[in-house]
Amino acid sequence: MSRAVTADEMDVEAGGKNYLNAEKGIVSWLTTVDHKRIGLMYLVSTLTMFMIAGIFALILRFELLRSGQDVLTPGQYNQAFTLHGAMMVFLFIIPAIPGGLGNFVLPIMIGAKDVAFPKLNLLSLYLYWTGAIFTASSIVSTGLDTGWTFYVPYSTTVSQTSVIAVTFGAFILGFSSILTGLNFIVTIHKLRAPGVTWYRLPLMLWAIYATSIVQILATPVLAITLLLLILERAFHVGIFDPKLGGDPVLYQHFFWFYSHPAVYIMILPGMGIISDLIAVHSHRRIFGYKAIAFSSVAIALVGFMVWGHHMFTSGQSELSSTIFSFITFFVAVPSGVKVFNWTGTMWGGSVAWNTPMFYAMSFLFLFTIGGLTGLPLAMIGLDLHLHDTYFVVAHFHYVMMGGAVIAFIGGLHHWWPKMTGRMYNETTAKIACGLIFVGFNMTFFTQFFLGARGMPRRYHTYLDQYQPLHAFSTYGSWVLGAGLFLVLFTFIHSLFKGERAPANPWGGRSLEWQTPSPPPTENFHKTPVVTHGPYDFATTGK
Amino acid sequence: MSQGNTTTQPSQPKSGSTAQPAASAAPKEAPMAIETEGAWLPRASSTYAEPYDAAWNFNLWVSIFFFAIVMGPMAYFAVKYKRKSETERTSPIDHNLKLEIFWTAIPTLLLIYMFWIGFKIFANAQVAPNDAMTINVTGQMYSWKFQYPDGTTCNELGVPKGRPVKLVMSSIDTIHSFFVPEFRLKADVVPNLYTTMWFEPTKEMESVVECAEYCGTGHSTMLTRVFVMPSGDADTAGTYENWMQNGCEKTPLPPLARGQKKYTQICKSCHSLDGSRLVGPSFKGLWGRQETLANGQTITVDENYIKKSIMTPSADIVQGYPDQMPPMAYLKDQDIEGIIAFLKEQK
Repeated sequence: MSRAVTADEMDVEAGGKNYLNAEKGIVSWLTTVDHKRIGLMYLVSTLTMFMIAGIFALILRFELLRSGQDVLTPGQYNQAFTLHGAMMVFLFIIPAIPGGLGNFVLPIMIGAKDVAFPKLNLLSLYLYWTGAIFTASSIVSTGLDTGWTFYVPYSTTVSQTSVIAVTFGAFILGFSSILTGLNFIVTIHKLRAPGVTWYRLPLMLWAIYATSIVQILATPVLAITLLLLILERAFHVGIFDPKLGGDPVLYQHFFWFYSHPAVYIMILPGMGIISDLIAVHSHRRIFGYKAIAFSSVAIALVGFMVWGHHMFTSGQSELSSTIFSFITFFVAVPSGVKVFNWTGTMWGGSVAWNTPMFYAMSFLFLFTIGGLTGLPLAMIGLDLHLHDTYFVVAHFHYVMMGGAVIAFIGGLHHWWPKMTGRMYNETTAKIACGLIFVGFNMTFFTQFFLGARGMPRRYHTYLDQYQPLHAFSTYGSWVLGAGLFLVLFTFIHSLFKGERAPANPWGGRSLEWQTPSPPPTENFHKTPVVTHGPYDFATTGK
Repeated sequence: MSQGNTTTQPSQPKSGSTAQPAASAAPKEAPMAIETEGAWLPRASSTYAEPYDAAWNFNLWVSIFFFAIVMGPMAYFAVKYKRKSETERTSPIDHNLKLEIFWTAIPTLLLIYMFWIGFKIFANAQVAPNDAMTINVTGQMYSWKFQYPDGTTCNELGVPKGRPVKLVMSSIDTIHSFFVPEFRLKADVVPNLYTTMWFEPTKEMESVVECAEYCGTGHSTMLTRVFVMPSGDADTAGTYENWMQNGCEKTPLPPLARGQKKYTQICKSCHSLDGSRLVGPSFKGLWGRQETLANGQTITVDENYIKKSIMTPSADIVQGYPDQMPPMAYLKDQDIEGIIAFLKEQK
């Protein structure tokens, strides 16, 4: 790096302490209030859940290699897809970016020592673990076969599995999510260092901020819904059960009132990461800072008014369906604005061909497909055919995995040197990125064809005519799985054999790159004073 | 046997056969299959499918266009602006209001237009014509039941070509969803709620009804066949009317097989075959037996008694059994003859 060495860096080179080696022993980790350590524990926990839920996915795809029964009975298959979905959503995607990466970078990015409520932050992590234990306990007891959506009356009167344990787990996880969101909002409002104005926040933080609003406003509704579900199942109170005069469609309204905004809890932080990756690895001022920032807020707000698009075939009124369809198209506008601005940021930039940038470009490719395939689902008339088919499965995997998870893995590569103080092997990281990209498209693009041709989702077996496409999708899942394990290998290798990371390996301008890698416990030796924006790179003009 | 059951068929490549009005066809079932046209969609077999496919194609080309205008520049910039040195300076242009307005407004207008297209075909799918034939559909774990206007109940859906059909659907247990890919239509089948769907079939064909809302271990085998047949004379093989007369069969079943089918569909839940007592008397050894009725009379179980018990069950209740059986006056003569033939076999 052709840059003057800062005082902080000299301090590290002189053997200074950092947040990893400041205290030792498991107790120091379990009782820490350091946002970086909590973030790291979140990362390890959520990645473990990602691996378990991912293995469920590989088993599912293997069962679907041929029609008929191979390795799983219909009951086991139903449990596998339920746990895959529930664990991916509640235990991985929702907490991973805010809880893991967000916790780590947020206070550093605004020049703060920690989040506003460090002990509350630790409580969030403990709530996450408690919820995870309840959810995961079902694996070793009677399982869960309701689908991650817990639709009634199946979940209240038919299912013989641990519905109450898992919904109670999700209930607890909701509190973890609410407290994290609350903590981040207060932190961003109150703890910005001198000079960090709202428009000097990295776009990652605008996204986290918008996400936190959704977490606080939507999650309580999930908590109420799950509580009602538990009451219904345990005491037959008759809110949802048609036999007792209840309304099963009401449950779907309650559920999606949270779970549609939850889609934005999952994707918005990913969009934030991508904004940072593209600007930093193009060494270029972000194009349309305000447009990207406010589109995050717009998505968060409009996202509250579109839940009924999950219910076009449910028996809700035609008028409701029409209104929900209309509003849904307005979520597409800010998403499109973001994509155009990201592409614009690469124009006239200095585009590094490195792993984080490749993930960012993967994201653009996959998220664009995910977004565009949302259009036929939003057009009510077209949805009548596509609803609950593999077309929907492919669509939301393009958004959730191709969008949120790819952004998360890209962000992990981006901030890995900062978190661990180690570089990783670029070659294996790039190969892994390529395998994931190819494997993902093989697995899921195929499913657009399956769905359009009439293959319903959540099927243990299927008509023989779908077999070639299902087989191809399964082969893709093996490539995808291999890519993900190569990422794991690359990171483990980096921990033991990686080169020492400099403070600023990417030439970034935001605050986290102005402190040593790994940072000291208090992040900065003295409170930084900020005089420029997060993407203020050297330009050719003016 | 052709039982109209819902199990999947053994492995075989998809059948290329469409519904054939050939009376000579042996009652051996081809595997269920959904015909596909082109790369994406199934064959278009309803009046709804035609505007649907036009809207689909419009959407597809809009998507390809937008994908290209994002991916093209991205790939171009990635190559053209590939980093050559770490100290390279970059463009200072960091916003352009006109561009932002342009790429907000144009997609917004286009999206509103797409909403309109989707709404238009949806609206047409919601209002059934007044002359539509109504078929009641019951979903249950894990089979479908169709009740036709004349009262006949079958597990398969048969409809005449070129005539609007309205389905009035409900579930007796959990939520199901009625989905015919070749019609491009789907609607949830919900307990304690009637949902409706209407369509006008445009092609003679055989295709598949699938359950599209997860309903448990049998979800993926909750399939049945849908037949679209020409409308015509009841005595002409291959017509919808002939199919109805045959009790939802393309070719008439022999009386015994027809009786067995009716037994499975209707009688089985209350009358056992092994002598055990359900709601009503078991069929085992019933034929020709002397029975004492609730009013003390004694009768012999013969053709006349069976027919009377089906048409007006309350008239002659066997002593010790409840008066619960509903009248089945909608059954055709062939059905009753079938049931009698079947009863004679239960020795």
